[in-house]
Amino acid sequence: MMVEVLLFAGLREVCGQTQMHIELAEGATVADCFADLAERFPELSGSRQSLVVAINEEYATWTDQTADGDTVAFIPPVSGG
Amino acid sequence: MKDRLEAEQAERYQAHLALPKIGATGQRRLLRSRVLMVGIGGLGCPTALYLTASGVGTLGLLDDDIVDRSNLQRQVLYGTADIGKPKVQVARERLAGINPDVDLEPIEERLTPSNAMDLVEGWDLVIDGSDNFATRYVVNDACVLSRIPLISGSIFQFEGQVTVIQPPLSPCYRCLFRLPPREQPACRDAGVLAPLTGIIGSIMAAEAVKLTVAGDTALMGRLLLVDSLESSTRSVRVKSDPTCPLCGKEPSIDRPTAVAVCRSSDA
Repeated sequence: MMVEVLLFAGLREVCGQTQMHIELAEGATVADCFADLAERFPELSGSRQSLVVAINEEYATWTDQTADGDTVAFIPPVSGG
Repeated sequence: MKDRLEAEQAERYQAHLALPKIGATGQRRLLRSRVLMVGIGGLGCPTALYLTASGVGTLGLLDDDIVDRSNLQRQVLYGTADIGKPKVQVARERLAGINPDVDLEPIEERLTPSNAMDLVEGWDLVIDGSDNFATRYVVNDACVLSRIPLISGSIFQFEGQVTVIQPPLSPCYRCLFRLPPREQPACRDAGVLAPLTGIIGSIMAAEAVKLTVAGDTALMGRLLLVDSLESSTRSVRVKSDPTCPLCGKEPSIDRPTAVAVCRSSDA
């Protein structure tokens, strides 16, 4: 199944893009999705505790399952003022 | 502040009085409110301008920085002649000419774990427009422990974030972001689109007015994401983390506590 991944702030810089499509196994969780991303961009590993995650713009947890066509957002905080 | 609005005030705030959701009752609430702005930089300047014009009763201006030439691209309270002067003093002078109803309290200090509880005490609302993660976690801790609502806004390049924090009505900053990310450069180094500071600062001021008038606001428990490159916004509903060390079921943080972050200097 395919999910759309949205990236924000520092994650955009690391991955060089604001969104991408990722092929995941049926029943994959948000954590699985992020692990797939971190495999392509190793700099992302270890940043989970700094992220808000959402599925289809609704609050989600790392153990929530994704479904085909979902949009999964990974949102780090920004600190500028 | 008297219960009735004086004639000049009725004229000054006419456009608020015309709004049924604000009206004379709401405007009087604003005129009695005490709001502390943390950081008078890119976000603090527009937020303070709109809160002064809107007629908050007392506006605290907290910043320990001096005006630098690299601030002038976006920090709209300051001009070339102000370089080298304390931001809070220049801001007070600029804001004082806008609205005599507002008591301006410049506080030339840096908010730290040791003074945070004292600095937030007595304010009805705190607005965080600071420029570094260390301050953001400490402001959050002090506000949550003092039960003071907090409006948190921040920017990075073309992106901005705003949320309103008041547990248990919303999650706290630590629920959302348990740890700060790795070093994030200051605006001067990372770059920031100048008008984005006005967009985010204005949203923060709008949330402050609504929260003061109505006791609740749309961004309570929602994280607003603004992308000024795509000219788009998204918002995500966020929830409290029951394991949060500050506002969770078994909290371990009982005083403002520093998080390990790399340096970020000037916004």
